[in-house]
Amino acid sequence: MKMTPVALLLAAALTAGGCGDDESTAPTGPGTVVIQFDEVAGSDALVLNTGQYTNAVGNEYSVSKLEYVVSAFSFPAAVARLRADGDFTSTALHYRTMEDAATASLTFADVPSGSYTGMGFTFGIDGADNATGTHPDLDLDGMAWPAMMGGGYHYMRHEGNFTDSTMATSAFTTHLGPSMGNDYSFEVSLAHDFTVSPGETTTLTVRMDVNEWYVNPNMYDFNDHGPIMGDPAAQTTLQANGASVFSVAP
Amino acid sequence: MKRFVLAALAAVALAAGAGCGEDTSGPAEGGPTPFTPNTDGLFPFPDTPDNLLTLEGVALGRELFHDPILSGDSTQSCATCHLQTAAFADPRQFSLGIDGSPGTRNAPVLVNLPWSPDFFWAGRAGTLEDQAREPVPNPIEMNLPWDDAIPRLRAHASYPGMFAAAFRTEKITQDLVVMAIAQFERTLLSQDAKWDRVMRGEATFTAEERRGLALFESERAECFHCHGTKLFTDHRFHDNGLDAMPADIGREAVTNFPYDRGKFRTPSLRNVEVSAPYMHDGRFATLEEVIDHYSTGIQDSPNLDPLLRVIRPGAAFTAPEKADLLAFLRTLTDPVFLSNPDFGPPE
Repeated sequence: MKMTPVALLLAAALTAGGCGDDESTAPTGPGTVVIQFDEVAGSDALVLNTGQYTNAVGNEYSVSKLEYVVSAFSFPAAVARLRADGDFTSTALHYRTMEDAATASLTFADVPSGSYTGMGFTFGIDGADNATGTHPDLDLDGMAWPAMMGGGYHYMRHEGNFTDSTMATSAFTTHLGPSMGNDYSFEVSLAHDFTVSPGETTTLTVRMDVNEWYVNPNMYDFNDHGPIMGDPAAQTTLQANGASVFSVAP
Repeated sequence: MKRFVLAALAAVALAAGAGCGEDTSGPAEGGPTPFTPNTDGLFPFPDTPDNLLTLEGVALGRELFHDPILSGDSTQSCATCHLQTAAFADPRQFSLGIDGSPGTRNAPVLVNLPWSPDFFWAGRAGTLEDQAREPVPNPIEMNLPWDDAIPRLRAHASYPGMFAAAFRTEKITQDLVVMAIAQFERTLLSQDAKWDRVMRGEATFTAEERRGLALFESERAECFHCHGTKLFTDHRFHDNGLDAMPADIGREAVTNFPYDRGKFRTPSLRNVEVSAPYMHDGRFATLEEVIDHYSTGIQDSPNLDPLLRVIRPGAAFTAPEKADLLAFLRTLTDPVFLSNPDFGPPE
């Protein structure tokens, strides 16, 4: 059949539209996102028991235990990306302990492919979901928060030794949680552009800098604090300091 | 549970009868009966894919646990040093082997073992099966090399048939023996103490017990951080300040890490009232002595756990507080567990 000039133009347009970066023909399907948890003390990797660290307060310390709970992850979709499913959200709760390498990663399967601008999560467990007995796995992990101090579950157990103001060895036990029935969990929002491709895995490293718990914006000296599970003022201080603790590692 | 065990014994008896006088080197007919113990009061029963629990396996393990055939002079069984009335611990500070040789550590309780990631005071055995391998040939314990134990079992009138029922083979091996013992031990579950009944709403604490619980869950005493969860143990290793310089290096012998020197696993406090003496070396004859240690006796040892270092030398309990704490600890005594006939010697 002889094609008219118009038909030729139409054919050319259709052909051109079929090649290159047309989103309507881009591969679809979900991918996987793996969150790797990494812990540091300033510029040093955190090593249990043997590492020696100094924070901006001047506390020289070692760490014997670090474990924490994060929950309710979300990946905000890039605004420019047109996609029907929008942000990715999960109600998953994750217990991370440095004593078990198996807890160093958290996998999200079936994440819609596309571009994302970052991630958000709750440090700890939102108060509405943090009642005694509601997370049996955390019970078995020893993260239960006593009923007499409000019930629910710890957000974090950070324990170790430090050299106190008398140059003796003392200990710190920073236990964060729903002290006296109050909700000290907080939202973490981390900006980080990433892409999820169909059938592929994207790995993101979430880094906790433990030094930041004790310096920013409030200086928190181990010498001035004993156990704090029943200390709402200390919980409030550390909740505020938590805003700068997490980052996405390059 | 009792009716299941009776059914298992019946199944075993049938299998054994079928095995007499016949070629029973192959698998038993019918196969073993899988089951999962009720753990509603605790946590979901962990999977054991390498040694699935069966009624026949548990029955066989119970038989072996109580049978002195596994000792050199046929005088001692596992139950000789792990007495049910003592929550399967030993009332002696150190158990005595068949030759009268004392051990070096107090025999621990055997309770709620499925959730434990390792065994022995320093955690040198990674599975219950591996733990069961050690006492039989140990010269200061049962003193019977496995190469001698297996032929005894194979020559026994009943064991080949019981092994056939449990594992589909009459070829008895060390692996199968420890698997059976481990299966039995995994059924030693304690979840019916007064504490459990209170948690279920079936009972209430006395005022004294309630005060004791408050102390137990306080940061002043710090009991709950190590002896927490429904299992009353965190299964981890701690130096609890018994000595300024620990003579027994404990966990360090397993990991070779100096920071593990003097650390021992947290024992479960379930049935603690009946499982004296206490600590890895049985140094405390009474619970009162234990409470005194945590009240004023915590030593400044190099690897003292931070949870105890922050309260050292201790919680400074008053006399009434000691009584309250003792009252609470007694609510962890489970008479059902201590007298359950399914755990005792087979009839």
